[in-house]
Amino acid sequence: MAEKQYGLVVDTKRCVGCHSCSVACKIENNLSAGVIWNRILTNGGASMDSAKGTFPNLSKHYIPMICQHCANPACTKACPVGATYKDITTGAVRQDYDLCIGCRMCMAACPYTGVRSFNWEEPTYTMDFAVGDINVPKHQKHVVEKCTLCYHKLSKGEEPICIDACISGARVFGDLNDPDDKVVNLISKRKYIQLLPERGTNPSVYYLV
Amino acid sequence: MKRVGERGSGEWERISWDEAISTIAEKWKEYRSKYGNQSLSFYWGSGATGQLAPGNATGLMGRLVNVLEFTNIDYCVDLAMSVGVGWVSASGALNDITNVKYSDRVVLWGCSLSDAWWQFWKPVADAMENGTRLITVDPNFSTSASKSDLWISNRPGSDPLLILSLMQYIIEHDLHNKDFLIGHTNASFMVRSDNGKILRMSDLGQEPTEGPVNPYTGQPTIIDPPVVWDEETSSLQAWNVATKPTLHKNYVHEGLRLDTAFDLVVAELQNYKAEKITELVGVPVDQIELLALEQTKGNVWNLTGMASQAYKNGAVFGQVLVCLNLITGSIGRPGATVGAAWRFFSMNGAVLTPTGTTMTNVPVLGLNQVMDSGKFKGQDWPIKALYVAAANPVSCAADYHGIKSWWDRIEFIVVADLQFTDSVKYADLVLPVAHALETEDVKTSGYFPFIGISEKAIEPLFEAKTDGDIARLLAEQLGVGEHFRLSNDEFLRDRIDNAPAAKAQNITLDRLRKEKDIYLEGPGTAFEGGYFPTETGKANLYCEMVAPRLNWGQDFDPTAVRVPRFFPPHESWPTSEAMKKYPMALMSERLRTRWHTNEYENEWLAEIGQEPLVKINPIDAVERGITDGSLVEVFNDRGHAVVKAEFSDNIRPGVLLYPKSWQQHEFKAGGWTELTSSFPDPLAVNTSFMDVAADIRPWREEA
Repeated sequence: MAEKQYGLVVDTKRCVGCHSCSVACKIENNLSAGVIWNRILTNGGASMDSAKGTFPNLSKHYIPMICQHCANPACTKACPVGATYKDITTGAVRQDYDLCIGCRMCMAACPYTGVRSFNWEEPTYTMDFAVGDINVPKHQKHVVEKCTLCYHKLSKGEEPICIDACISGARVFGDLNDPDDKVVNLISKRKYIQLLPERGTNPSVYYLV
Repeated sequence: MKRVGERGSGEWERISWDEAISTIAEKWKEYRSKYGNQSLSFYWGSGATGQLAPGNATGLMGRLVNVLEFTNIDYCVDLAMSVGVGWVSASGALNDITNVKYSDRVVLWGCSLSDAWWQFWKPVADAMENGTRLITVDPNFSTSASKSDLWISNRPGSDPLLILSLMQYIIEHDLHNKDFLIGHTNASFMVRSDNGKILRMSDLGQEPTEGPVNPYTGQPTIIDPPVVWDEETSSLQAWNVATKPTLHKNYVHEGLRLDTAFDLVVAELQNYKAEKITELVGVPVDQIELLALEQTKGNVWNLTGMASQAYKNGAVFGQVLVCLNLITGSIGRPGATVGAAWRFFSMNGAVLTPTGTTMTNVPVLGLNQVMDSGKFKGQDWPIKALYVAAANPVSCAADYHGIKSWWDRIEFIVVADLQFTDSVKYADLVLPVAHALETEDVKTSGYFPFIGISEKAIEPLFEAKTDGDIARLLAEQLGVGEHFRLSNDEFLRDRIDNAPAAKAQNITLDRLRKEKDIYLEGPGTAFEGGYFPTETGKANLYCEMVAPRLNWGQDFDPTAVRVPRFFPPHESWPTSEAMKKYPMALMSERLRTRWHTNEYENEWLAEIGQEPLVKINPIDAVERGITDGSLVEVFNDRGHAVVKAEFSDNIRPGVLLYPKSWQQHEFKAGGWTELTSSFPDPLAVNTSFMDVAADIRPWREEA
């Protein structure tokens, strides 16, 4: 077990699907054209604001979807070269671009479809200069990438950018292994779900419902 | 850049700033001398707001327009609600969002708050965690509806009808606040049956007296008090003399029948019993009753967006909604209020009028009539030149063909913008302006309860100039340079430091530069203490005489809305002529990734954004042979838009909902602006963006 297991609590009663976290992530991590690490799904269907049910008996929850930084990740076991691994100090599931051979076994193993992407081509960008944090590793062709839990910020004692960018106060970051942490406090008081618990991955993103 | 081909042909030539400024100045001087000052017109929007920015006709460009006495083309957007509120309250209803923490109920009317005004959502969510109940009245299952404890789906355009029904229920069940009605409204005033006017002491033979001098007219105010029935003395008495005014009385005085205003209101409300209007409003009786009861639970904020007022009955919506809060007495206290979440803060207006001259407002909705007749309010009014700043009317205003009709008749059009918008496309001369981050400004937008400085991050890129610098260059060549030789610093200092509201809270430019943001004091609740700045300090539950927002010679009836009553929308109503032909109600919603058409070229936002589409309930779609994701044509008599159909159960059957803010080239064909209407409601003089009937069919591209 990692010393710490950083994770996120997302309050689906507060999340209004504004996508600010998505855009902030895109800029902070200098993501290339077409790559989004943080997507917003709903419980109702494929389009942006799909509700569940038929008019007027409807319900709708937005589900911000990122790498779940599982306590027991499937991806790390599938990687033949150790490029995707569990970070001991933070519990983040990391991806080493230099080691990655582009086999995409991690993508196949991960039950949370779509949180990873593969750069088939040399990454291209909107701006002709890098944006976001200077310590973000350079994106490469033929590697898999995904949410790093803003590792470059964690190492400075800061929280991931999506926490600060949330307009609703719906995202809370903390150490799930610390019984006194605010995230542990939240999931002890509120009803929550984890995604695909039957897969045994024990994801570190908790959705309050 | 100047146009070299036909207007709209896309053929341009790059020119120098010197050439651009002298071309404009020469044309403007010629028009002014030949046709008069009003021949130059200005159209602004909300694309860039602040003190120096030209949006809202502020900044040095606003100053230039006043000095040169331009025609100001009033954009007629989102102004109906405040007209109706003004009839009742003699003021605008504006509330700081922080009121929600004192509200027991927040009822959203035509307001998808969490999509359109994101910054207001967190305070609402915080309040909900502390027990505030959120209720949404919206035809469609908006994001806000999905977050609400109760969602009422009504027919588009029926909000005033629903509100009148709530009032009827509340009074019938004796849940109205009688003390408040007597103390803070004109409900107890006696009304003459012969002319519908409020009975005054002069009608009873008491001569009016003179009061203090009105600072606006320079004339003494005339004091002729309204009359009430005093139960203490069983007689007619001046409202301020009677000790026990009553809400219910009819009385014949010297052959003249008199009724309390309240009795007249109650009589009208009998037309709106839940059972009578349930079908028309499209809400079951039990839900109407439930919503009425919610209105009586503690501090209620009926919080409005811009959708309910975007119909022909938009001003009446404002009127009846305030009346609802008046009868429950939930008004004038923190959390108990009505109207938009908006924090108004007045800057020093004198900065914009250094010569004492001002622009003249001509409503855009009446502009084609002015162009047709060459007259405005009976005077010759040729318009030859147009300057557009912080605005993109071609893709954001209503009725594209109507816009093009007046646009094409203007000889010389300059558009200043930082994006190549649809309006730029149809300009004669284009000026590239600097971005908000390329100049310092002070933001007092009502969207947040504080004043903030917007710092200059970088010098303007490429050849862009700030709106202020453009105004300075033009002023020099037009011979009014003496009023424009002040620095941005001097302008901002005068505008802020000399504003009475800023002085009261000790807000200065220097403080803003140091502290960046300064929160405004007080909860900012509309009609604080139940005081209304009318003749008697009481609200007009009975609106004796009303005035239109802008009087441009149109026909209107100042007595039409004496008692709160329902008027149907112009098009979007089952009995309208338009709906017989086009049975669907066409409504818009905000696109998350754009602010109107701002940021349309932003690739980061485009990646998560959508393409132009229309949302339709699958029931309506299947009936018309439309499949999910296919191309469809939405159309009416005015025009069409060809977009993708998205099946959505969020949409009320009978409604088409489109996310707005696209440029023409993004559509397969046509555009939303082609379908909307420029019908001017004579009292509100406001664009009814939602009051649109249309139909939809599969798109078959012509061979």
